[in-house]
Amino acid sequence: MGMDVVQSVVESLDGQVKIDSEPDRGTRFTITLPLTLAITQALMVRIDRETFAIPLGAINETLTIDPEEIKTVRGQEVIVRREETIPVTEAARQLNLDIDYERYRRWEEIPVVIVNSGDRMVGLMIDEFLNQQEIVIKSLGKYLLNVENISGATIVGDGDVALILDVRNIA
Amino acid sequence: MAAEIETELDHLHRGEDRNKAREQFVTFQIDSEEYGVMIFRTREIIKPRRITNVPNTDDHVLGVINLRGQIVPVVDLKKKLDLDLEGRADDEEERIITVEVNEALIGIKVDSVNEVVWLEEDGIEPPPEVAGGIKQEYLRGVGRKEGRLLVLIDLESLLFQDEEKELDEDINASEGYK
Repeated sequence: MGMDVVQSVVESLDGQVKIDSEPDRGTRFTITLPLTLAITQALMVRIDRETFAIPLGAINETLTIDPEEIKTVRGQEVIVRREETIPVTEAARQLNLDIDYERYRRWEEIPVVIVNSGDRMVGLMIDEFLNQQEIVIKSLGKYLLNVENISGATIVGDGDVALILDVRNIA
Repeated sequence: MAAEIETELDHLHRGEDRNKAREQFVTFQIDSEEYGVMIFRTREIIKPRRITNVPNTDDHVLGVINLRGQIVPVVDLKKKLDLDLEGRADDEEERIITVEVNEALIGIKVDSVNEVVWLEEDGIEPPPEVAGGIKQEYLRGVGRKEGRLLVLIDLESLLFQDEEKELDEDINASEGYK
C-alpha cells in the first residue's frame, strides 16, 4: 500500500492528490474531491407533482396541522407551536409553482416542515412527506446558476431527478 | 532554408484553409423550418425522457434530466427562439440534442433530427436582418444545401448572451451606486 493506491482511488472519484514536500520541513498532502460527491441526509417531500429533497440539517421538525390552526397576525399567517409563533407559507408559493395555493386550506390536515431559514423558523406547507434518505448532491450546472430557493439536484431510486430545496432564504 | 520552411508553412496554412472551407452541421426540424448547429458543439442525440421542472427559471428552461447520472438542463428551442408554435410535431420524432457551450452541457429539445451535412463556407450567408422573428444575434448565418434553407444557430449567443447582458446591466447598475 502506497500513495499510488490513494492516487488511484481518489482519481476514480474524479479527485486529485497533490504532494508538496520540503526537506526538513514536512510534507503537505492535498486531496481535492469534487463537490458532487457531497452526501447528505434529506427528507423527501412532494410539492404539487414533483419530489423535492430538504436537507435534514435545515429541518427543525415536521408535523401535520389542522387548517384551522393557521392564524393571521398582521397579515402574516402563523401557527403557534409550544408557545412559539411560527410563520407559515406554502412551499409551492415560494417556488412560484402554478397551482392554487389555497387548496391546502381545504384539506383535513396539512403536512408542514418547519425549517431554519436564516435566523428564524418558517413552516412550509407541502403536499406529502415521502421518506428520509441519503442523497448525493449534484450541481445544476453552469447554465442554471443561482436558481432561487434551489441549491442543486439529486437522482432518486427510479432515476428521476429531485431538486434540493435551499431553505436559507425561503420566505 | 528559411524560404523552404515558409513554403512548408504556406502549404500548411492552405491545408488549414481547405479544411476551414467546409463545416459540418447537425440539422434538425422545428415546425416546418430546418435549423443547424455546428457539429463540434454537439455531444449526442437522445430520445426525450422525463424532465423535472425547475421552478424560478425562465420559460424556455423545460427543466433538468438525468443523463447517466449527470444533471443536464433542457432548453425548449421553440420558446427560446420565440417562434410562433404551429401544430406540434410527432412526439415519436422529438429529440434532445446535447451540446457543450461555455463548458456547460445543455440539452436542446427539437421536433426531429434530420441529418449531418457539410456546408461550404462560402455557401453560408450572413444572417438576414429579419429571420422569421429570430434575433439576428442568435444566428450564425443561413446555409444553402441542395435548394434547402438552413438557419444556422449560434449556440453561444443564443444560450449565454442574455445572461451576459443581464450581468452587464447588473454591473452597470451597481457601479451607478458608487
